[in-house]
Amino acid sequence: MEPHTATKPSTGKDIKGQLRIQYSTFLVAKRMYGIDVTRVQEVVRPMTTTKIPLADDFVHGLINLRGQVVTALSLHDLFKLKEKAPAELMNVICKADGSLISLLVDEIGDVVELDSNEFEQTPNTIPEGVRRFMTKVYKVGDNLLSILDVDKIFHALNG
Amino acid sequence: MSELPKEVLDEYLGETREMLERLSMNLGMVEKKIHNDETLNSIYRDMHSIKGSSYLFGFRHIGELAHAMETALDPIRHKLVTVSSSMMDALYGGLDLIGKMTEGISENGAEGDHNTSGLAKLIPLLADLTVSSIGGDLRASNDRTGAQEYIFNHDSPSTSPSSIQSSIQSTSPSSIQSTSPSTTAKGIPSMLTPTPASNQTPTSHIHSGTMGTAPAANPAAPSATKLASPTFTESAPVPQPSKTREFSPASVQAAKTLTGATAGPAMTATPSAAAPSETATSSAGASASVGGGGSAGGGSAGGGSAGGGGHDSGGRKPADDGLAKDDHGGDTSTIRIQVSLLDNLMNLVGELVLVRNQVIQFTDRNADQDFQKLSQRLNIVTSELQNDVMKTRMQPVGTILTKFHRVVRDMSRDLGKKIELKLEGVETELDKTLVEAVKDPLTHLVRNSVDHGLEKPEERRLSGKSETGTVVIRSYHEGGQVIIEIKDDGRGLSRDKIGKKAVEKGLLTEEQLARMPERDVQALIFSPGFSTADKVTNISGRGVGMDVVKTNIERIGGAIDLSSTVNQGTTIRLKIPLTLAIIPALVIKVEGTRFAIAQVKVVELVRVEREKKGSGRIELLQGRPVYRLRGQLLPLIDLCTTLNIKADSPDDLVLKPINNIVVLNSESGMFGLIVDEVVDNADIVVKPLSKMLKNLSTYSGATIMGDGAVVLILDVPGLASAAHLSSGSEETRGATRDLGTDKSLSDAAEYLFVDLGVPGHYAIPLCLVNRLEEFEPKLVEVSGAQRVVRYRDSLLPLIQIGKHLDLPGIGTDTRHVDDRVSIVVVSKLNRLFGLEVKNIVDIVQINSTIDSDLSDRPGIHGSLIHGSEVIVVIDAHKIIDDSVKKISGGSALPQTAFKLRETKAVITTAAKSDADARTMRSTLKILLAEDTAFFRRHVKTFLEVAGFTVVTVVNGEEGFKTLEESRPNEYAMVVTDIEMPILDGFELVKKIRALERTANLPVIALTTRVRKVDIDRGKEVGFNAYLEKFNGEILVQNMDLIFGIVA
Repeated sequence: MEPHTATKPSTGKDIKGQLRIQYSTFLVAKRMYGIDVTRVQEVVRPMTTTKIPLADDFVHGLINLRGQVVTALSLHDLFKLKEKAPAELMNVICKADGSLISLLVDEIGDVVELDSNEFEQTPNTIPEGVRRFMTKVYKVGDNLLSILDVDKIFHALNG
Repeated sequence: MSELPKEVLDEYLGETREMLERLSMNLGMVEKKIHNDETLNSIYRDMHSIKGSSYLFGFRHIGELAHAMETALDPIRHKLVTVSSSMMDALYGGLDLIGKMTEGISENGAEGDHNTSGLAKLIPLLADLTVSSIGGDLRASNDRTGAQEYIFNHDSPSTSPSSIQSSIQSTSPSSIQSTSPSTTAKGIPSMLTPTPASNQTPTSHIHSGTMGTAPAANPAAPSATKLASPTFTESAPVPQPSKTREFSPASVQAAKTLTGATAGPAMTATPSAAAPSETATSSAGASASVGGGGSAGGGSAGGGSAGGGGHDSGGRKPADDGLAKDDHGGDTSTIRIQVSLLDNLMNLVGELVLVRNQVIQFTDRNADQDFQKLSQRLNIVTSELQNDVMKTRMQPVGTILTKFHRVVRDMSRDLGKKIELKLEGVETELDKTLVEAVKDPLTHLVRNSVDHGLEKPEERRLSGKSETGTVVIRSYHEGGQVIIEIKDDGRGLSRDKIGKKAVEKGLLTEEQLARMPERDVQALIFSPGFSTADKVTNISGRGVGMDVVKTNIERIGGAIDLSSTVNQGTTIRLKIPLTLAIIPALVIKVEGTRFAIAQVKVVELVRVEREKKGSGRIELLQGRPVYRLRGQLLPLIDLCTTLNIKADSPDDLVLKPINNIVVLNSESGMFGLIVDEVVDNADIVVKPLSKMLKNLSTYSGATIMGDGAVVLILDVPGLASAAHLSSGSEETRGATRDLGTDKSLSDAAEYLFVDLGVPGHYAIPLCLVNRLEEFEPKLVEVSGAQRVVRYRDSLLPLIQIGKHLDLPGIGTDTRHVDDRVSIVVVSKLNRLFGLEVKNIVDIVQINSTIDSDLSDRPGIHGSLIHGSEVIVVIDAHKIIDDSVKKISGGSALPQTAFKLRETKAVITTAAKSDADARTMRSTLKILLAEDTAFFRRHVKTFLEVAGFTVVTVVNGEEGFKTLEESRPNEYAMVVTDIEMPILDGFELVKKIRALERTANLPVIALTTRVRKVDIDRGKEVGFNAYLEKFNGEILVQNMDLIFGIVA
């Protein structure tokens, strides 16, 4: 349960004066996603989860984060992915609208710093299940990084 | 002053609010003449502090008003005059206005211009009252001195009547000299005048003497006043006059203390007062030791309490007035903390407690001596820490109770009643959030007591009571709860009055009332919408009733209880938990998952063992589990099934060897919750659920257990509604998702049994009934030939069922039971009709089919068997149709046989005879989707009689599935209801049209939803016809048309 708290500021300017943004990345069903690092409070190892009967499928349950009850969301279910989620999932604890939510991911990646101008729009062919939470796509080496918007996730769920 | 840092402003506002509260309380004491010198001094000091700090922060209006009030208070403080009631009103008015202005400041940073008009009225009023209270002497003194230095420098000249200013002008020329230049120059009203009345006292010479020393003290002033606020020194003019003014009460105090002393000692006292006043605020005691003058100086510099100590045996006793000590920065023993910080602290302590628990569990398995000692210490320290942190959130109830002095005072004046308010146990402590939460309900209850409970003086005299009524508010601890009692010695609750009202409101019948015990009748006042107030006053009865009070108290986990004796009074007891955050709970388990239930909702625990004699057993009623609890039927809910964890069939429950039932109390009545295991009692910390889970009504929050696991807290009303326990209103029926699929329930239809005043049993299908109403016969009017009654802003046509059906024996008994007209309100074509019956008997579930062959006349559906009796089922819609036809001379209600869509007829040559048509129909298979059992059965029967083959389903989804799985062209038509669970009629037809093989299948809507918008929607989504439920002939006609059976 060691929190990997982000201490560095997420934005900075390089020599050319371009805005650099830091994203904390993770893998869900072998695909890479990123969230603005300032929105991530910490990353926590798999935790005991209390299931919530009658709740939506993607609501995985409740976890105890040092005395605070946090709702954990399964990104597998939220994105309606066919791949089965592994038994042990990492918690990416995000701040949204004054409360905390935990996004359950398969694996934690690095924090990457990217140029704010070099993104691509989300192609329209991406399934709506994922696209509605995505803001843009970055090409990072051989990989493609889908940037997620925590607020979009939070608001979509609050209806 | 927008550049003021927010924290500084907040502190100013907070202090001002506190001072206003205390002022209000103290003024109340003065009014009741239970005050002492310190009360008066405290009032004066607070007023002065408000004035000082308001000027300092640039809130001139407040400052001016405070000044005028302070001026008005001065003669009172010196006991030259007693407080007149008009003066009291003006002072209270002033407090209100200051309150309003501070609110304005906290909202938008300004005092608010709209308040200035009040100010312009109040300040002269105060001035006039002051003058009149002290009479003409002052004018004389004014003439004598001729000093006219008082300058009220602000926007509204009308607020500075010179008479008062001059009359109370200080007689000390030197002090005026020293202060007036700066005040007038800076445009800040002078503060040097507040001790005019002292001129009339024997000590006036001492007073003026000390005033004379004021300039000497001035050099010390900036540093002294600095203590009051860091920014004080920046506004040099303010400290100066205020300093001077401070000295006059101080010296008066001194003079009083040292009775008979000459000017000499007083004068020497004053410089020394100035010196310690630099530190006076932080050590009132020190200044007090200097003597009366010194202590007063210290007190005034910080606005603290030292003045009180000053006149006590020569000022040797340090000031220790609790009230004054608490609230100023001057006393280092208190400190202001953000509530959020405390909350956070609470949270962390909670977590620490959990860790402690885990450590202790670990210790139990570990034999290491040292470790055991350590963990024991950890245990003790943690417990103490938890206790103390809990205490930080506690607040005395007195903070809200004392406000009621004011409420009661204002109300008693408005109502012309004499009322005394007694407060007991104001020091009882309660969690801060709870104190806030009980404030409104309490206010309501006190208002109620004063308005409805207590009588007017003459009425009280007549009933042999003292003219002055008493309201006592007592609070005390009892059994881990705080009890707040509101007791009045008024007229008490009248059983007759409440009963009459309840019957009028249709809450219960006369017979029910007659059987009801006194206590239950009294409890009726908590029913929604109940008010016995003869007239609505502006004090109570403003639409919010006792039911709201009850709900609010219950929301915070409290309970409300009432007892009343006629002519002796009413007592209302509120039981409030000590804290909101921690509640006692029962922990239960199903399928290995733990849940918590708030103890207040738990009535009892019942263990039902199948094999054991006398423990009773679970029975099934219409497929639903029930239990006989001491002879009363208790509906049961299986938690497992309700939460969809595992579907136990009701039969399994009956067969289970042991069932644990938690009997719960919810608004809709008691019910039993079947759980696997009752684990424990525990005090739990309630944590809110995230917003995205708020729509899950079955949980009210979550908590963290001793082992660190998160456990959900069950919401009892939410559970009841999830299990459809709440009475079957239209909404709940729509909201309950699996009602339609639940065969065991859906097979029974509900019937309303009515007495038509003729022999035999008659019933109306409950699904047709909109409401049940009762009217007084005199309310029934006649419009033309039609009997009508005013109902919800329109006229409700009445149809006498018995007469209409021309039943044998009708007319022999026309009396209405209890002289009331019982009406069954039925909606047809969006209009309401009232069916008059002699009496409404009961609602019964019947699980058998109507035999239409036994229908001997129009308006009767047929008969059915219920037990040993034959029930005649009334066709309410048919009766309405016919009745309207009769009245309007033949033209029936507009028909809703809207032909919306053309479909190729399956039958090419029209039938030549009825028999011919019947044969044709027999080849056609109809799919009927209908969720209401009565209609499903009834429509099916009707269509089958006409010759069709009918298959029924209970909702749209099942209907569509049946179609999908059917052979091509197996079904010739779909007849569907609109409002159905899971998939409604609109969605069903959409799906049918979207599926290629059924795209042209004829679909008829059969519904009670026949507004224009509904029909338009029906056309849009692809219905062939849209018919009102239910006229069998018209349905068959339309079907025949569509099929081509008739041309």
